[in-house]
Amino acid sequence: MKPGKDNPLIGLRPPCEVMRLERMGAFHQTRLSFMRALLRFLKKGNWQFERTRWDIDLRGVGTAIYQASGPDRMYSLICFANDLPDEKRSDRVIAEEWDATFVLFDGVPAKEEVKRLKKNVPKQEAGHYAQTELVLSRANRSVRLFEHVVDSLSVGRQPDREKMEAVGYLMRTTAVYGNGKFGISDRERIAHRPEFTGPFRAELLSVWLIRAFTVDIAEHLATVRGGSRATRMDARIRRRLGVGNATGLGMAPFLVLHPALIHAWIQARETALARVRNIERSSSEIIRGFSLLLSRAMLGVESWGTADPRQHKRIGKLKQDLVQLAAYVKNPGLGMPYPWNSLVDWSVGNLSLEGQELAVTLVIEPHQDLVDDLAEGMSIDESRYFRINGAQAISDALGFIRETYPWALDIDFSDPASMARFWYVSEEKLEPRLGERFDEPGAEKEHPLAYARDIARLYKDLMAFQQDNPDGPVMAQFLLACPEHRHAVRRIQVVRRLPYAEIRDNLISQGMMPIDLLRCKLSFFGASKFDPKSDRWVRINMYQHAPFPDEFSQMAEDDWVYPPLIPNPG
Amino acid sequence: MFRSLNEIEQTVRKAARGRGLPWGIADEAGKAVRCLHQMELGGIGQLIRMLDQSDAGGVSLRLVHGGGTWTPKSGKLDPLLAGPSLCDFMDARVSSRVEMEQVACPLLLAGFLVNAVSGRRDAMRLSWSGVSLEISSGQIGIHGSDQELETGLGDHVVCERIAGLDGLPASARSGQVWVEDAAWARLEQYARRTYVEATEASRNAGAGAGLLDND
Repeated sequence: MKPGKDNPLIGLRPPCEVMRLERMGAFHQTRLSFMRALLRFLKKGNWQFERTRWDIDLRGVGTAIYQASGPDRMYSLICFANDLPDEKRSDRVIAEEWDATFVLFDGVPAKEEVKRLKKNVPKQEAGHYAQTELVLSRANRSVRLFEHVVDSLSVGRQPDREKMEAVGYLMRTTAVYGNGKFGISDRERIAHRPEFTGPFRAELLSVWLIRAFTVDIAEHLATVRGGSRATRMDARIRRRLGVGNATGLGMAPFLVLHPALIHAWIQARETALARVRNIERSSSEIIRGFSLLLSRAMLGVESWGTADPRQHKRIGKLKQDLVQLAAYVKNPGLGMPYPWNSLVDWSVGNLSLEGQELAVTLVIEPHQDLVDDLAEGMSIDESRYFRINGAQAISDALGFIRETYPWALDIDFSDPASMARFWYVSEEKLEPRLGERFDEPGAEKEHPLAYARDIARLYKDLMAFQQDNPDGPVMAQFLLACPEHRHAVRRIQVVRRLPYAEIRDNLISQGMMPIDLLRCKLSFFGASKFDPKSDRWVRINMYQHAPFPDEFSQMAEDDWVYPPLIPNPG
Repeated sequence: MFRSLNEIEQTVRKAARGRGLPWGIADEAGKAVRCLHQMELGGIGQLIRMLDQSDAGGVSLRLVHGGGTWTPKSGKLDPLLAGPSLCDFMDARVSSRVEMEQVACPLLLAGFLVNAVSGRRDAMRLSWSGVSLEISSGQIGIHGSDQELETGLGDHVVCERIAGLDGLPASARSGQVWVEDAAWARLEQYARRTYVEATEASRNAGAGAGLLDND
C-alpha cells in the first residue's frame, strides 16, 4: 500500500519528545492557531463588520460599538473608554480601573442594555452580568506608543517606524474572560454555533475588534488635539499594530487542568506536521513559496525585540538558524524525495529548539489544503474523558505508569530542589501563583498541578495495594481505600487514551520555567513577539499584520502573519 | 444573584476541597452539584447543609467497607466521598448493589450517579426511607415527598442497577441559576480555605508583573 494521509510512512513525533516544557516553550504560531482559524472562518462566511456607535467625548471618554454580522447571527463589541490617570495604570490582573473595558454581547444590544452594561462592565469582576454577555475584557494604553501616535497624527504626520516596531500595539489587554466567569454565559451555551466551535473563538473575536477600537480612539484624540491638521493612520502602517497582552501565571494551570484539550491541540499540530513530512514530492511553486515565506519570517524575527537576556539570546540564535535554514533550502534544497521530512530531520541536528519549532511552523505553512481541516478538530469535550474506569486492573495501571512515566518515577522527590515550588491560589485576587515551598507559608493549600510527584506517589501505593490484595484487585477497590489518589488515577486513565495530555516535566521543581507553559498556550492562540518580563509573565502581540475589520473583505485570505517583503512607508 | 453553571461547578469544587476532601473527589463534587442544578434539584442548599454538618465534626472523611456495606468511620457518611466510589463500583460492575449506612444528605449522591450514567443505557435506583430515585441518562424519576428527599440523614441507602432504559438525550437545562446571596457567601467561605493569604513578598513575586504599566 502506498503511504498516504491515513497510513503514513512517517509517524507523529512521540509525546516524550514533544511534551517537554523546554520544547513547548519554543512553540510558534501555525496555520492552525486560533486567531488564524477564526479569521479564515469569518472570511469564508463573508462576515461583515461595522462601527455602529461612536459616542466618545473630547477627553476620550464614552461608548463605542462594533458589530459583527454573520449568516445567522450578530455580535457586538461594546467598548467603554475611560480617562485613566497614569498612576492607576497597571498590567496586573489585580488592577481595578483601566483605560478601556469591553464586553462581547450576543446580538445587538438595546439602549437599556448598553445602559446596564455601562454600569457594570467598567467594574469588570465586580459587575453583574447576564447570559447575553459572552466575553469580558479590559485594556490599558501603551503610554510610550499611544502618546506618540496621537501626537504625530494630530499634526498630520505618520508615526515613527522605529517606535512602532519597538512596541507593536497601542493597547494591551490585561484580561480576557469567557466561559461563565463572573456570571457571564457558559461556553456550553454557545459552543455549538459554527463560529464558536474552535477553542477561544469568542475571546479572540473580541480581541480582534478591540484592535480596531485602539486605533480609532487614537485617531479620535488626534483629531481633538489637531483639528483640521490631523490625519488618519496609513492603512499599511496601521497593520503593523496588533493588540498587546500581558499574561501572567493565571494562564499557566490551564494546560495542566485541561488534559484532553491540550492533547487535541498538540495532536492537530503534530498531525499537520506528519502530513507534510509524508509528502513525497513538492512542486517548484510550493518550494518557491516556501523560500519567500522564509524571507518574510526572517523579517518578522528581525523585529522581535526583548529586554529579557534569555529570550534575547534565543532570538539571536534563531536568526542564525534562519540563515542556516535558508542555506539548506538552496543546498541540498527541497528537490529530493520527502523534502519536508528531510528538512525537519536536518533541523533536529542543526538548529536550536526555537529554530526547530519555527521550522515546524514554516513547513506546515504552504500546505493549507493538506492541513487547514485540522483546525476544526481542536475542540474537545473534556467531560468525555473525566469518568474513572473502576474496572481497570491494578497490574495494568502499574504497567502503564512504568511505560509512560519513567521520567516521573526517576525523580528523587526527597531532594528539596524537586519539591521547591507549590502552586496555589492567592486569596487577594483569586489568581494562581507559584510559591517557594520551603520559604513561604501555604504549601498545605497546594493545588493539584504536580502530577509528576503525585503519580510517583500513586505508583508506590498501587504497588503496596497489589501486594496486600493478591487476588487481582481493580481500581474501584483501590480508590475506595485511597481516595486521595483519585486525581492521579483519572490522570493516568486520560493519558492512556490521549497521549499528548501530559506535560512530561516536574512542574514544582526549582528550575521549572512557568513562561514555557504560557508560551505554549499563547502560540496556539496565534500570538507572536513573546517578550518575557520574568520567569513567570510575558508580553505578546496578537493580530499584528492582520487586516482590520474595515478592510477585511478586500484582503487576501490568511496571508497576514508574516510582514510583507515590500517595505511599508513610515 | 444569578450564577453561571461553570461558576457553580468551580466554587463547589473549591468548597469541597476547603472542607478537606481530596482534589479528585472535589472535582467530581463540583460536577455533581452542577448537575443537580441542571436537573432543578437545588444542589447548593443540600451541599451547604452537608458541609456544615461535616465541619461541625458530624461527618466522617473516611468510610469503612466490610461485608458489602459502606459505613462512616464515625458519625455520618459523607456523600461527596461515597458518590465517586459508588460510580466506580456500579460502572465497573464490581458490584450491582451497594448499601450504605448513615449517609448525610443522600440526595447529593444522585448528582454523581446522573453524571455516571450520562449518555449510556445504564440505569440505577437510589433509595432510602420513603424515597426512590430512578436515574438514567438525562433524567431522574422521583418518588417521595420533598421532605424525605431533602432529608439530612439517610439511615440506610441502597444503590442498585436496574433494567436499562433507552438513554434519552440529556434534557438538562443550561443557563444561569439563581443562588441566594447568603448561600453563595457560605459556599465561598469554604472555598476560601483553599486560598493562600497574600504577603507583600508574594504580591511582588506572585504573577511576576510590575505594579505600574506606564511604558
